[in-house]
Amino acid sequence: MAQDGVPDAIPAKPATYAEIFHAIESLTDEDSERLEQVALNRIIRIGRRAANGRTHEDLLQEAMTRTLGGQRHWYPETVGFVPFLIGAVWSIASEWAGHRKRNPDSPEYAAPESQLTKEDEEGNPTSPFDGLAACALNSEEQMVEAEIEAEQQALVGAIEQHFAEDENASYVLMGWQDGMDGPAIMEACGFSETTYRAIVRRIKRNSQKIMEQRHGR
Amino acid sequence: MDDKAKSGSVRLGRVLDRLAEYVRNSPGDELLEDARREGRDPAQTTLRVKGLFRQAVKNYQQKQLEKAQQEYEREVAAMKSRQISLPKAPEKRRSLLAAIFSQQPQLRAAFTFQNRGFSQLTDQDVENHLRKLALLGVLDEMHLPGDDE
Repeated sequence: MAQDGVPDAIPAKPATYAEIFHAIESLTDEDSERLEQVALNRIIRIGRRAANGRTHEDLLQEAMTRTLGGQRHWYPETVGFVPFLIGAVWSIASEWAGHRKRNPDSPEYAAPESQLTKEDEEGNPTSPFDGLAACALNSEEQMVEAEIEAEQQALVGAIEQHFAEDENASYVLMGWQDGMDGPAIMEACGFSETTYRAIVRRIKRNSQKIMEQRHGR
Repeated sequence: MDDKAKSGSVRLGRVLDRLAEYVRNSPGDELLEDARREGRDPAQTTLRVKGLFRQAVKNYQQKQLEKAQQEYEREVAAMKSRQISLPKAPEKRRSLLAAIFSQQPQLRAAFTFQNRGFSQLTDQDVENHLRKLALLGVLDEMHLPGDDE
């Protein structure tokens, strides 16, 4: 107990295997839908080529593998299982994109990173990608970059095209592309929160269809 | 920078980030309703997602088992490769074992003599027990005259 009578904060404990297994079995339909959609979104975000052939399912499994292996810690007392996994999916996808750029030809991209984790001298897990030097793009890498750019340009073009006749959706899309968030767009366009949410939902539904047509699920 | 000048990846990235934010925070019933409208069965999605996680758990457990097995095999190999120097004469080995048990009687409990008395142990039994004790490091602490014969 601290001197001021307030109990000292008890440090959060990472989840046990039993808690993780229980959380998996307790996933609801809503949870699964949310997880799958975020994973799909992130794979398309980094580009299929950047993901090196890995799918959103690989991304979800990698998040679980890292949780079990202790490379990512879930603290059940402070965060729910699904928000935790979404955070893990988010950051692993960013890593995949970044690592590929740093060393695209590495054979290590043939396997999930969690299978490649090494230990430092003190036995702490380290990423096999640590220490890879950033380097200038060679011509092959430039081709891959150009391919990703063309793919993403086409996808965003198709989404814009789909909403060309939907003035409100077009405003929202333009606002997002300019880096505006929801409140800023609502204020600029005079949308109520209900209207904004309905537009976003419409964009999500239709752009998801477009993405799935192009990339599959 | 105007919209057209931004790269496709930047524009798509910003759109996808906002959509992901919506998915993270939108009410579950909206997500399920949309999934059904898109012709997906949420129960099937749950089965698939749980299946992915269960497979990850299974792979992880398998990896842990393999790691433990490798560790065990390394330890056994290390024990086997250790040089053990025992007295050459059987009677000296028997004396050594007797001396160990007399100096450290608590070790007796760790060795079963299968209802036989110490004197009934065969020379092979004595040697096996001494080897086990050597691997445990017990012999390092024992000094009997004439051991080095």
